[in-house]
Order: sequence, then structure tokens, then C-alpha cells
Amino acid sequence: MNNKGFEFSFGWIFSIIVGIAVLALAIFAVTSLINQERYILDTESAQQLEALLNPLQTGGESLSRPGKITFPIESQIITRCDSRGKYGENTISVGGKVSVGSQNQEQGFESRIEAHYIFSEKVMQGKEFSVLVRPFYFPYKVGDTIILWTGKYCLINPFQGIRDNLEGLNASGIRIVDDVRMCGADEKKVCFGTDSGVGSSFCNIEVNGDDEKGSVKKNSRRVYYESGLVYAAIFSDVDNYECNVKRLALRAKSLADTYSRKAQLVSAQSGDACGSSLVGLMDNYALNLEINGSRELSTARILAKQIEEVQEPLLCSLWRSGE
Amino acid sequence: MMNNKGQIKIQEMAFVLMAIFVFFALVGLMFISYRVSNLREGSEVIKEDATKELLKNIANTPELSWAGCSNCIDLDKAVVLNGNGSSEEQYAGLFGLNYMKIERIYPKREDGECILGAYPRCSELTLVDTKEVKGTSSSAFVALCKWDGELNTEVCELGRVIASGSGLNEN
Repeated sequence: MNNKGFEFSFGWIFSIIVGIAVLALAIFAVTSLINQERYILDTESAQQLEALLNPLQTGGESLSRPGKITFPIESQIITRCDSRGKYGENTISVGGKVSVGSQNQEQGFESRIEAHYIFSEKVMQGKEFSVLVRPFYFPYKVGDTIILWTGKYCLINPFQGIRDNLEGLNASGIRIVDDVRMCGADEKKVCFGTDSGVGSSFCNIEVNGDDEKGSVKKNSRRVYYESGLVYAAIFSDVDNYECNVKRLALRAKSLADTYSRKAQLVSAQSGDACGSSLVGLMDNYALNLEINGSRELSTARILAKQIEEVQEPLLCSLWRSGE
Repeated sequence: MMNNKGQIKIQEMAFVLMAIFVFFALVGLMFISYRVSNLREGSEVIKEDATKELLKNIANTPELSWAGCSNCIDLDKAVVLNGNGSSEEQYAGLFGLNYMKIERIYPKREDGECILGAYPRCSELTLVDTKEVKGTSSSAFVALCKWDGELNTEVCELGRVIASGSGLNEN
């Protein structure tokens, strides 16, 4: 008869409790470290993405440069836009997909961009992202619009200018067709013109107008474009587009002030031949650039054309005309 | 006697566990300090790359671009931006830099900051100076062009842009 049984001494209890505590601490430390490493990686990705976007700027030329940004793992890019402040800003953050499970991890540190105008959906997910860069002239160069998208787009019967531009550039993820039936099920359908013969129920995005000005309707909301902003209007989220248009207007306003003061400086040195006639026009133009949305772009566009007509014959041109 | 032996064993075990804990804590600390120094280096490299890329394109930014040629800086516009010398922080975010200076190298000019009253008898323009700690600076030679009111023509001279990148933006 053995009545002794299993003796659970204080030594055992002590070692089990301390062992569990040490193990828990170790697991906690490793988990925090892994999360921290991922956060660092995502922040680096966002910074590298910002650095990548810098050389994508166009020079003085009006050409677009399509490109591709590929991440090593499926990633999520979140872009935000804020039109407050002197120039407003875009913020961009990147989050890589966790290999275990399908949940996306927390985004890395946001990278702030004041000089660029990133037109895209608010949240994009994928491994490959396409980029198209277009300079925005209004009437002088205001900045470069960086259009970022992922996934496939099917452009049905686009305007001739857009067709020529995109066919020449061979932009990835974009297919140009003449009939909606030629579009794939996984493609976003972009219909051009009211007479495209395509029922609007088939279209994800509707474009009305021409290459230079018009409107784009998506998700039952309409935005307006001028001067080559058509690509931005098609590929961008509505709120993001409106915000970036306001940012472009802020920059154009600041530049109008710079050109007005440059005109004063140059005309003081060389007399009436150079730019003095532009001073008043530029000041008036700057006032008209205080816009609240893309709908007001057309009014500013009329003034921009007037200014361009005055500037063109000047001996000392204040800026290089675009397109 | 038995009790004493047990107590000693417990103490031994406690010391071993403490030693293991301290050992792992030290290893962890070393790893973290190694990662932080690596991260700092990485951040500096990214900033430096970004500054170099920016320098390549600085002449094409609308605020500084010259109408006559690409990669030429419009000196008149730069002077207007420099204003009365108080605009040193407002373009920091736009250019993504915490320091930017344009130097007029050849022909040699009188020393001094190019502000509206002193221009064109001046030698440098400090467009951005956030007074923060400056990282590694990069420089690039550029053509500085302006309209010459006396000759009624465009003239260009040799200049240099010196810049250092801003740090990771704080939220």
C-alpha cells in the first residue's frame, strides 16, 4: 500500500510560476519585436516610395511617364489628402500583408508629401502599382500630378487625345476597347461620352466632355476636370481628387504671386517691354484661384487663357508654356 | 536539516532563473541597440538619396524653373522667393529640405544675401534654413539664368545648389 502519492513541493510550485512568468515575458518581447520590425519595414517602404516618386517628376516637357512600382509582398497603400495650410499635403503609408492569416497589419509611419499631388483611391491593395505622371499647366506649370492605381481598367471608346496618349505609352493595367462586351469581368469599365451607346449601368466610371475639359461621374458623385486632369479624375477617389484640386489651386495662387512680383522686378529693370502688363492680371488671377472645388476650375481657366495670351508675345517670357 | 537543504535548492533555482532572465535581457538590449543604430543609418541613407534625387530635379520645380531651358534656375524668381530674407522656413516642406542655399559662383559677385534691395549685387540666397540639425549636405552645379534689363536679353551664370534633407516627418 503506497499512500505517499505525488508530492508537490514548494520548489516545484516556485519553479512553475517563475518559469511561466519568464516564458510569458519572452513571448511578449518577441511579439513586440516582430511588430516593431514590421512597422519599421512599412515605414521604410513608405519613405522609399516617396523617394521613388521624386525622380518621376516631369521636367519642362509635357510627356507622361508611365511606370510600375512592385513590392516584394502584397501591400496596402493608403493615401490621404489635406488641403489646409499654405500648400496642403498628401500623406502616404504602406502596410505589408501578414503571412499568417489574411488580416492586414497596422500601417507604417505616414510619409508627408507637399510638392506632389497623388491622385489615387484612398486604399489600394496589391503587389504591383502603376504610375502615370502628368504635368499640370494653369497656364504655367503648377506641379506634377502623380496618378497611382492598381488593378485593371477597361476604357471604352475614349476621346482621341486619351487614346493616342495611352496607346503610345503602353500604360500597364489599362486596356482600350471599342465595345463594352470586350471588357473583362474583373476590369473597371470606364465609359466615354453620352453617345457611347453603353448603358450607364454597365459603367463603373462615366466621362463626359473632351480631352481638355468635362466631368467624371463615379459612385454617383461627379467631379470636373480641366487642362489634362482627366486621368486624375478617372483614377482618383472623389474626395482625394477634390482635395488635390484645391491643393493645386493653392500652389497656382502662390505661383501667381511669385510671377506677379517677378514681373515687377523685371519691368523695373527693363521698362514696359517686359511683364508690367501682367502684374494686375496676375493679382486678379490669384484672387480667382481661391476655389472650393473642381466645379470652380472653369472660371479660373478662362482667366488663365487670357493671361497666356498676354504673356506669349512678351520678349522676356515669364514662364514656359505647356503642351 | 531537510528543510535547510530544500531552502538552498530553492535559492539555487532562483539564482539560476535570475541569471537566465538577466542574460536574455542583456541579449535583447544589445539587439535593440544594434537595430536602432542600423535604423538611424538607414534613415540617413534614405534622406541622402532623397536629397540627391531632389537636387537633380530642383531646377524643374515650378517655383525655381527657368523658361528658357530645363535644369536652369530662374534667379529672378529665386530672389522674389527669398523676399526680404524671412522666408527661410516656409519652403522647407515644399522642397522637402531643411536647408537650401544657392550660390552664384561665376562671374564672381559681391558678398551678401540676395534680397530685393541688394539684387543683383549679391552672391547667395538662403531659401530654406529651418535651424534644425542638418544632415549630410549634397550639392549640384546649376545654370542660374535671369533677364538682363540693360542688354535686353537672357543671361546665365554658373551657380551651385547646396541642400540637406529633412528628417522623418513627425506626426
